[in-house]
Amino acid sequence: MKRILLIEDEPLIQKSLKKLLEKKGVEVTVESRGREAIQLILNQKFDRIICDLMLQDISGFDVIEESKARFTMSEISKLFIIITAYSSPHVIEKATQYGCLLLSKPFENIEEALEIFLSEGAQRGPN
Amino acid sequence: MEDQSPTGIKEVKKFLSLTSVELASLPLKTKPLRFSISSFEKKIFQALKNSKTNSEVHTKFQFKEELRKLLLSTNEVKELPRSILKLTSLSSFESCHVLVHEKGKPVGQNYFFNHPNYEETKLISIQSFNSLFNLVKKSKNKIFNQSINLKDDLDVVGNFLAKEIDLKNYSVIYLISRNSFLPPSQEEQDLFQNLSAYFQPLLMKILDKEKNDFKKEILKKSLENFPEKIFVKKNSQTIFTNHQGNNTVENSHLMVFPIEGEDNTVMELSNLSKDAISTELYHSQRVSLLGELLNTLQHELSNPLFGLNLTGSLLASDTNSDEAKELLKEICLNANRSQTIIKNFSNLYSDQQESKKIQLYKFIEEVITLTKSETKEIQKKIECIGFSNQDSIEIQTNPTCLTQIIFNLIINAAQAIKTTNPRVFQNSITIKLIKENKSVTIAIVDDGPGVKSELASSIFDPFFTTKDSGTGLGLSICQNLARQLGSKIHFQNNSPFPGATFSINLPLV
Repeated sequence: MKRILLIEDEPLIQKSLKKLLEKKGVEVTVESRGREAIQLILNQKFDRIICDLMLQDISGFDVIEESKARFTMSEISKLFIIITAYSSPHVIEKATQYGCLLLSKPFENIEEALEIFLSEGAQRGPN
Repeated sequence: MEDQSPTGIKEVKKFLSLTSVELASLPLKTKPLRFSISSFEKKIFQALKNSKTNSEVHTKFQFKEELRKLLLSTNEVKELPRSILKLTSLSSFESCHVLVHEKGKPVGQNYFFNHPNYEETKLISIQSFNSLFNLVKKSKNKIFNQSINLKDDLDVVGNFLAKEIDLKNYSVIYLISRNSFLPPSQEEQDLFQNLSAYFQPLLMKILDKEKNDFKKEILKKSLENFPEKIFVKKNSQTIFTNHQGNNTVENSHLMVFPIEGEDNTVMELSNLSKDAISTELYHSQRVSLLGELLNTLQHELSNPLFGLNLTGSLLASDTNSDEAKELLKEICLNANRSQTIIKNFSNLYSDQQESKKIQLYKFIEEVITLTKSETKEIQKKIECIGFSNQDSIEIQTNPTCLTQIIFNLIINAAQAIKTTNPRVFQNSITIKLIKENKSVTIAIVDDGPGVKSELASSIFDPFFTTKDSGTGLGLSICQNLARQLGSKIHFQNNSPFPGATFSINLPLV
């Protein structure tokens, strides 16, 4: 795990999460707008993409959908981790469709959350 | 055109012209729907009995006389089959069906009578009814045998005669059968055919009456169960009420509706419900608005609070100063706490229809947090009685309703305490969770002044209040909410101890 893209528009979370991840020794690129994030995803290489759902311009699910232009569904499910403060049943169901792991904000245990972000096989299990 | 009046006066007159009876001196009554025996007809019958000159006339008249009795005595359709078989000229038949279908209904009624004493009412599908109706309608001699494929619906053996009657709102078939190979005689057929002319007005009358009676019954039932006082008055005399006892409604709360088509008749309705209903609606709208507001707040505050939390942890892990570490942890904890509070609040005011499994102890704790400003300085505690583990008290209920109830009862208790004792820190409100058999009683116990015994019966009435600024709706709304949960709020004073107890019982999971 070398490069992480963090798509998040809340400045405090953006800054602190970036710092916390960098302390674990990874390079973090931060983007708060969905459309710019899509360009980055399509043109650069990331080992992990942490994506908020409520962005300023588009939804995090739109970002994932656009990423299909470059990645297979299986790659998407390993690449993306969704973070959201709006984990309604509808959102959880949609995340399941992409096979992506979803973490609700606030994280119950920050250290644990960081470990999940940095783990290789962090996609949703069969259930 | 044939005379179809039930009295069949013209026909009687025709026959009478064969005899020596003087008609001109007799008064004529020609009301078509009159079923009583007029003195005119009694006289004819008497004359016929005495003359005995024409046995055919006699038979026919006797038939008519029997028919008249039948028409007079039949008040319900289900009596008709038995009555038909009582007619002397048709007495050789064993069974009779009267099938009635109210147009537009999915099923018809099959009224059945079999000699000597078997009576039954069954339903008949509209498909069977219609195919039989069309079969009968098309037939010229109206004689059928059991080979028709409807015998399963009808239990008919042997030959039978059938006739259809088409009324405005109903289709009717009547049929008679006997278990014999002999076909019905021409005379029997004629008599049978002629019956329809008499049955038509009779059926119209009794079918409409039955339908109206049914409607009236439903209307009466709904009026009787209407939650507010209703008085139906004719010429100022009460002719119907759903309310026993006090016979009037206070004028200020009265709504009066004239009843259409009934002279001097009005329905008086206690107007109370109108205000109460709209206030309740207003209350429920406010709660749902509050729910939405809290939901938005939760979502909007969640992110920045989480940001604070994350930043706090980050800085705490960066700093070397113990004091700064301590303060930063405090910031994180508080950010977390704020988040939890708002999350719990929005849970308390979530979807108003939703039923959820809740942990009662935690739930009550959250509601107490909601009442903090109103119950400031008053001691509050939760006691579990009969439960070994407070976390095990689980109920399935609508949390929004229950929040409202408990919240209101705690606020009421606090306000009651404040009216008598300015040093409220000496007072306490205790919420007792008492285990019953398969349920839990939630009792809100205060040590305030209690309720004066003369007011005790009115406290749940809408608009009843002893507070200067009260609306008098709190307890009334609570009682309604409790009803929605399938329960009821009970009240008692704690005498000889001070204060009052309000309680609600709910089933445990």
